[in-house]
Amino acid sequence: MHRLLLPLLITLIAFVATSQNAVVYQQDSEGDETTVEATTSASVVDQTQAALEYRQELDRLRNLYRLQIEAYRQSEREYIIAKDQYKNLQTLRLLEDAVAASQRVMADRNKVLITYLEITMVTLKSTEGVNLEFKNEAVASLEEQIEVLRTHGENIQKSQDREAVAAMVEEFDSIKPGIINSAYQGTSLVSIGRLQTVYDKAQIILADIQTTQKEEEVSELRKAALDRAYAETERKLDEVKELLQVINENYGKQENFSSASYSNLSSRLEPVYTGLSQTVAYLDELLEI
Amino acid sequence: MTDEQIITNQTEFSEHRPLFEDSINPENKNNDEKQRPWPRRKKALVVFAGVFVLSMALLIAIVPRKSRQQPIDDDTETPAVVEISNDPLQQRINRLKTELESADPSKSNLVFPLVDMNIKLDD
Repeated sequence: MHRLLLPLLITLIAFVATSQNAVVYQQDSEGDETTVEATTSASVVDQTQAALEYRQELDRLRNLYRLQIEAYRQSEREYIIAKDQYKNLQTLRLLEDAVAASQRVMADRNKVLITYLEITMVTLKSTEGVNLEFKNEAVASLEEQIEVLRTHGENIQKSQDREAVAAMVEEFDSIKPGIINSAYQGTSLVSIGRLQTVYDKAQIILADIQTTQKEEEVSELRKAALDRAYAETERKLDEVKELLQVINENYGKQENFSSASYSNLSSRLEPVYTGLSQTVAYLDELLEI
Repeated sequence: MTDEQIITNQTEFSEHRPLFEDSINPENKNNDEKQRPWPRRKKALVVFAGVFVLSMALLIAIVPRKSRQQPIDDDTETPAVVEISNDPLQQRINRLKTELESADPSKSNLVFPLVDMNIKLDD
């Protein structure tokens, strides 16, 4: 009998232990969720109505984008298979299949690109800290490219034979540079604007910390420490400001945007990001002094 | 020594009996095991497996569904968990940290779609 009881006992002990872990894990995750919810709700209060609308629009577009990119992947697979089969066997039926598959994949790619440009546009509109002139110019360019793609999408639907599909390939080749240019123009501005916003807010917070701490009665020793800390934080903010000015000037001079230019911008924004990380850490420390 | 004497003198009998020797006849033992439909080891294994399956099922039911959900893609912005403070300045700094995190230029969520920009029927 004891042979039967021993494994039972071990299993029960293991079960109780894992159940307790699971409950603790659940409690932990509930705690985390409460923290996240509190943080999110705090930021929601600060958001304006327009920002909330942008948020909702972005969520809708992102969900649509996921569905469209999935559909594109499927039609891309079918297009590759149909094209290969036609290449190998060269029959009329396989040609029909290849034409239909090409038309489908081009239509699906078009939908993906339209939604991507829309996401970029809404993100840009909702990004603070962007030079208004640059923003309006980039938004107008994105709107124009979305229209171009919509017209191209209608033309794809009309193309039924091999020649018409070939004409669509040519049409896309002619509109492609404009799409790429607008997309990278928008994303470049979003990247600059996000860091500019952090810089602006950091500056305001520093001023508010200084005002709050001036009202407090502090010892000479603490006052000296605070002055040194303020000077260091301001110096860091000045460095970031100079870097951002140069980046904005370069952006104004730039005429063509591409993957390469965006990658170049990202590497130039790295020191700005590092400087701002340091500034935020200083602000955190300033409250402790 | 007669048979009767052997049976009655138990002390002497136990001294002569080899220690730790199973008194059951091996042939009888085999017969007993064959007669039993569920040998002990098998029974224990079945019970062990049953309890294990039950405990796993309960565990799956206990762990919250939400915690097992995976993000659909990396584009989704997840709010960073920031320590809650009563100090309004500290709250603003915490929010700034979250904002800075999403402004990291090396982690753009607006990556150009990975689509074939050179689709052609005739190469």
